[in-house]
Amino acid sequence: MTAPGRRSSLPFLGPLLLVAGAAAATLAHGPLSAARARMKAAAQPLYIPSGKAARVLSFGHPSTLADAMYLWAIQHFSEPPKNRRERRDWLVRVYGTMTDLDPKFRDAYWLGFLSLDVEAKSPDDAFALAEKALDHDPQNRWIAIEAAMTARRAKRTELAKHFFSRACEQGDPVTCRFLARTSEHDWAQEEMAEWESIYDVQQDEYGRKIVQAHLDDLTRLVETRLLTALVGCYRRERGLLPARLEMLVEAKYIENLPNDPEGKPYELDPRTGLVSSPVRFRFDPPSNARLGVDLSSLGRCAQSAAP
Amino acid sequence: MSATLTRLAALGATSFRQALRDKVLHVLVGFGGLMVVGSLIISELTVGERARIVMDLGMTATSLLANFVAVFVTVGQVAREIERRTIVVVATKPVARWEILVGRFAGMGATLALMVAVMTVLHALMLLAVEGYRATLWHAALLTFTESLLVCSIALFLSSFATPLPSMFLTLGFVVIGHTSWGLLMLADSVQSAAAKTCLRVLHALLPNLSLLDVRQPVTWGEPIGIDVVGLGVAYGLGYSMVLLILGAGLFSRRDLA
Amino acid sequence: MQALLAVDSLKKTFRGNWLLDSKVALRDVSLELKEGEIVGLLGPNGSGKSTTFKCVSGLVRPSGGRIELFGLPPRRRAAREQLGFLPEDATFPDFLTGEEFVGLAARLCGVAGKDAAGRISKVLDRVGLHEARRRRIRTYSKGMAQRVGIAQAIVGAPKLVILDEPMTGLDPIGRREVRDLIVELAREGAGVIFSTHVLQDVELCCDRVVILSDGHVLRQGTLAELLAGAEAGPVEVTLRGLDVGRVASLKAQLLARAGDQLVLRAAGPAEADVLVEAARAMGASVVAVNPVARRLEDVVLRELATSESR
Repeated sequence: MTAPGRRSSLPFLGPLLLVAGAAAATLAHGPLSAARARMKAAAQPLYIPSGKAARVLSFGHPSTLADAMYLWAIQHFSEPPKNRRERRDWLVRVYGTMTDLDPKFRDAYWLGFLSLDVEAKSPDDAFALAEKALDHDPQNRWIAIEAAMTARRAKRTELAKHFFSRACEQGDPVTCRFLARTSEHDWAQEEMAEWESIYDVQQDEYGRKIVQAHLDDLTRLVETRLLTALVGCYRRERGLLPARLEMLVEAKYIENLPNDPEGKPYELDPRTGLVSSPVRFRFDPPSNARLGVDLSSLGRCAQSAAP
Repeated sequence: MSATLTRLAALGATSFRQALRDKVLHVLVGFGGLMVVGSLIISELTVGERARIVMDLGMTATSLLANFVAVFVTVGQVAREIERRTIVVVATKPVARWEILVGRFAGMGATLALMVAVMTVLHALMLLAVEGYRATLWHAALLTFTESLLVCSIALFLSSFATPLPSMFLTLGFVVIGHTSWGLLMLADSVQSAAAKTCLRVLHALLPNLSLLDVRQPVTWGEPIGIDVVGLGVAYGLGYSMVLLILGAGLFSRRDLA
Repeated sequence: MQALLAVDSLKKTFRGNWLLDSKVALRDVSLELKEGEIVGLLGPNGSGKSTTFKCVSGLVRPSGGRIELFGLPPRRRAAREQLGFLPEDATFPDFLTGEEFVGLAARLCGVAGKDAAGRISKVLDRVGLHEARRRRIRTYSKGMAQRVGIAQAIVGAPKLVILDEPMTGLDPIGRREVRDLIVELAREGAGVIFSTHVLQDVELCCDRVVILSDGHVLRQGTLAELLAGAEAGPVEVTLRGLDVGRVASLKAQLLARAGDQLVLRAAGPAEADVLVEAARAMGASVVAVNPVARRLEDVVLRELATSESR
């Protein structure tokens, strides 16, 4: 207890503590802000009104608001749409806002992608959402794989290769093989199967001839691509192009050389390494025909490459 | 000095007791507990990322609860007591006005620490159940506690000169500002006038930046929380709180209490 | 002997919003309190009694004048170490039990350790709250709350006790107990100053009285000094054989009627003489003439009336 009349020394500590507190707060503020920026964990504000407005309204809890929206959204997933356009607009807005609030919300990206593709039949919006996911979260390879598979089914090869390559950036050998295979090879196989089905039901000779011509063209396309890829592999491994296609058999790149469906051997251009058929295509080859051959069974030259 | 500590301990213990017996606290804690446990149930509705939902909702519940208690219970302890003149009896004792305020802060600090600790333990148990537990949860809890202390000091500062209702609304306002002060920097980048830019940047530096103490999103994403972030955050929060307490004590000592 | 409390020319103006509506609560109040003395502070509502106490206890800053508690200004913490204060219409922390609240007051006054529990129990016994000490204050009646307020004021064994309307909410037995407590405190050496509207309480225990009105002291002194200086009080005259209808013409107040006797009240001795002469002229006979004892109430009312007429 202080003796009466004697002032306590505590009041003099007041200004000292005030200065100390202000100094602590000021000195900590800068480094703390820098440390938080380095974490890159804080979601960047986006100049999209719905996202920003939602962020302000979240009162400092954007990810929780994103969760709440997500839970609400999945409850409405199975509701029949009033019309497709309205549904598409609604889905774009909802998943756009969710992912604005929380740019690493993987579930929202995945469900949004499926909803936009399957329900709203708006694959472009779906692919845009997948792109956004990968921009914010490059490690999200599953959205990349989902988008790539979807693109390939839609026969959008370039898009499929783009998404497979983004998945491949994560170093996953499986998706890298998918990347290698993504080409008209699979498309061609499917189409060949479809033509064979059509051939089976043809009633007249004319129809069967048309279908057979398509089948021959497809076979020609696939085999020349395969042989060209093998020539390229030979060149990479040995440093020079083979003089004849038979050298591929001798070097055990292939067991037997196939012939054109009309029985004629395929021809190798020794200068360029391209393999072509001596018989013209009856129908123009697909306009987006590109190289892309699965050489994984060879055990080497896993990815195709032009010679 | 020991007499001062005795008085501070007595006032702190009374404040702690008052908070624990406050019905507002009971309602808020009940609500917070429900949110934490409810996150386990809500996460069942998700298609995936169950652990993430539990982690996120649980931390949000703890943060919201701590901040609401810091606002409503603190304002009730000071501004309302001044209005009802319950504080008169204490003020006429051989107690300095600053001791009354600091004692309240100590009591509220103990209350908030207990609350955050209990909520975090409950949350940790929920996360263990969904195999989503991370040690960085405790880093977030410590920074949440620091944030709530800072909010408490804002409430005490405002209560030292304002009546209960304005104190409450102003404190809530500062909480919102504290989480959205990044908007001031955005505005500073957009305006043309150099004077306006400077004003906005100064305002951003002066206002309490609560978002610096918010590591909930990185914890949810499983990112590491460096010890520098935690240490600097605690230093920032406590330093700012000290400034507000001292300023509040200065205003409170000059105030007529009846 | 140094005064425990010295107030000199105290002034207080409460400023309203935007400097408008300012109210002058105290214009010029001076008083003193010594060890072992009991002073009663009287005055009508709004005279400045509570404001004086608030300034003295450091709750409110005076606008002018000087206050010393034990030679120190009241805002200094050390000045309040020996002060026990009960505010008017006090509300106490209702979430605490009586024991906890008095315990808090004790610790804030520096009573700690083994002394504390004994002192708290003794004080609660003294104010008659032993049975209810473990109940929360929110369950107390008004009288019980007043008692716990007195308990917190005296638990620190203060040398100066200020009680603002301590009798409020108490029944006659409770009021007597508080009066006895005040007398005991003074006997133990403490100086006690209290305000009340019940003048009988002041008459029964105070050494000195201070009468306030409109923010300044009208009169102060010992009871004997105040009563001695007062004018003679009313006189009761008992008459027989006077018709009731003729009372009005006598300019007297009819107090009672018993059989053929009437008891009338005259304002003072001179008025009583006029009344007796007039009654005899009407044929009535005088049974008795009794002066009413001079009371503090009369002194106060007269002082207030005089003050208003100025």
